[in-house]
Amino acid sequence: MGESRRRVLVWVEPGTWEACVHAAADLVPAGVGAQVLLLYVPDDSDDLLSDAQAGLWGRRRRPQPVASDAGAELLADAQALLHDLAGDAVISTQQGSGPVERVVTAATENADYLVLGRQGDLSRRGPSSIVRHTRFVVDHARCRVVIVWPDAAPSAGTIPPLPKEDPRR
Amino acid sequence: MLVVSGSLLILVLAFAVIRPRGLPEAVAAVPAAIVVVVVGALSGHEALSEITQLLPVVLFLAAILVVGDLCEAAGVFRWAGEQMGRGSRGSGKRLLLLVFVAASVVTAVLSLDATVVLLTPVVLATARAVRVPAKPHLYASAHLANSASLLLPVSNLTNLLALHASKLSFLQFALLMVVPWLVVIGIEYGVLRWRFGSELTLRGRPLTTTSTRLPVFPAVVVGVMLVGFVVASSLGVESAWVAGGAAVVLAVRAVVRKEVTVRSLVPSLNIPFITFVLGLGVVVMAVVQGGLGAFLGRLAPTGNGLVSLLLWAALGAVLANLVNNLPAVLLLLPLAAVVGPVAVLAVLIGVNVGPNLTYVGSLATLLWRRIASDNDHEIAIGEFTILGLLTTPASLVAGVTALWAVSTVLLGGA
Repeated sequence: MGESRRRVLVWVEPGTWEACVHAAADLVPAGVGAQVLLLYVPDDSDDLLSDAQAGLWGRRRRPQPVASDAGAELLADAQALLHDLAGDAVISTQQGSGPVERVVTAATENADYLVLGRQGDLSRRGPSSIVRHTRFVVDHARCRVVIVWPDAAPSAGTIPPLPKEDPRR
Repeated sequence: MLVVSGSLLILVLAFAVIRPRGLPEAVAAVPAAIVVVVVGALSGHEALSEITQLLPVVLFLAAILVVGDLCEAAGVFRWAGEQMGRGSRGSGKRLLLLVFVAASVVTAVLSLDATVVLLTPVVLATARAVRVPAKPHLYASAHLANSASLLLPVSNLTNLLALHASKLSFLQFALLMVVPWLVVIGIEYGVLRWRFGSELTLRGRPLTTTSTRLPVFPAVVVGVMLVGFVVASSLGVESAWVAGGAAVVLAVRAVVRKEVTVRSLVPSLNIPFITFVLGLGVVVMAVVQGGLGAFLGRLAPTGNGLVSLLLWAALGAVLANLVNNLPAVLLLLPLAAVVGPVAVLAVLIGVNVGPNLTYVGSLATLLWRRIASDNDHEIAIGEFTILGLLTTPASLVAGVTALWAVSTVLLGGA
C-alpha cells in the first residue's frame, strides 16, 4: 500500500448501511490514518414516478417534491455511527446522482477499499444474494471490494452440494 | 371519409404522446374534432350528442381531481404516509401490506389519478424515510393505480364512460366487480412479495413521530360522497353532481381556512384535459361511424361465455397498450354495449389492468419517452416490464374468470 492514508469508500444503501459502516470501521483501526467517503446514490425511483405520471394523458402535471433530504439524513446517521466506531478517521459524505452502479463504480477509482452490502436473497449463500446493480459494481470496481451480509450470514448448509456428476466427488 | 378521420385520430394520439413544446393535448384534439364535423365525417348533431354524453363523465373527473387536491392540501396524504411509516415498524413486508391497503382504497375511492399523482410520491418518500428499498413499494403503488381501479364506477375515467354504456347502477357495478378487484389485487400482492422477497427482508428503521392528525373533515366529506354516489345512482342523478358538491364543500372550507386560494384551485379543474377528452371522443366517434366500428364489430366476440369475455378483455388490453386506455375504451364501448353489461366490464378489466404491461400507459408513450429522454432508463423499464409480464396476463385471466363466475351467479349468466 503506497499511500499514506487508506481510502475507504462505503456505499450507503437503505437496509445495509449499518453493517457496511461496521465493516468500514474494522478497516480503519485507530492509528491507520484513514479517510472514509460515505456515498449514497438515490435509485431511479424518481424517474419511474415521472414516467408513471406521463401515462395520465391530459392531466395537469406538477413537479412532485419528493423528500430529497432522506438521503442527507441517511448519510448523517451513517457518519455519526462511523464517528462513534472509528473516531480518528477523516469522514466525508457525498450524495451522487445518475445511474447508481455507474456512479459507485466511478468512485472506486479513488479508493483502496469499497464496502458494500448484499441486498439480494439473504436466506442462503450464493450469487442471488447480490442484486444486479451491486453485481455490476463488484465486477467493475477498480479497488478491493468488501462484501457484507447485512445480518449474520446464512449457515454453510445453504450451499448446494457438489453435483453428482462432478468427477471430484 | 374513414381515411380523413382515421388520419386525424392518429394525429391527435401522436400529439398526445409527443406533446410538442409541452403543449396541452387539447391543442390537437379540439381542431381535429372541428375538422371531422366540417368535412362531414360526423354530423354536428352527432358530435353534439357525443359531447353531451361525455360531459358528465369529464365533469365528474374534474370534480374528483379537485377533491383529491383538497384532501392533499388538508394533509390526508401526509397523514397516510405517516401512518404507513409508523405502522411498518421498520419492516419492508409490513410497509408493502400498508401500501397495498392505501393504494387500493385511494384508487377505488378517489380514482387512479389520485394514486398516481398524490399517493405514489408519498409512498416513495415514506419508503425512503423508513430506509427500506423503495422499488417494491413504488411498483405496488403504480401498479395498483391501474389494477385496483376496477371496484367502483368512480375509480377510473374508463369505468365512468362504461357505466353509461353498461346501464348498470353504481351498486350493481360494484357488486359485479368486487371479487375481480380482490382477485387482481391478490395476484399483484403475491407476485410482488415473491419477486421482491429478498429486498423486503432488509430491515429499515421504525418511525415513531407522527405530526399529522387525521384530517377528519375531508375524510367525512369523502365518506358522505361515497354514500352520495350510491344514492344518486339509484335516483338517476349523475355522479358529477355528488363529486362537484363534495369539491365545493371542501373548497369553501379550505378557502375560508386559507389553506388554498380560489386562484390555486383553477388548475385543479384540469380544463385542458376536459376539452381534450371531448375532442378525442368526437374524433373517435367519427372513426367508429366511418367504418372502424363495423370492422371491429366483425372481430368482436359475441355472448357472455368465459371465452368471449376473455377475448373482450384481451382486445381491451391490446388496444390500451397500443395507444392508451382512453381511446381504447371509447372505441370498444359501443361494440361491447351491444353484447351486454358483462362484456362491458370485461373490456374494463382489459383496459384498466392491461396498461400495467408498460407502466407509462401505452407502448406509444413508452417508445416516445425512450426516444425523447437521454436518461438511462433501461434498467427501470426492464424491471417494470418483467413485473408487468408476471402480473398482467394472470390478473386479466383471473379477473375475467372471477367476473364470469360472479355474473353467472348474480345475473344467471344473462
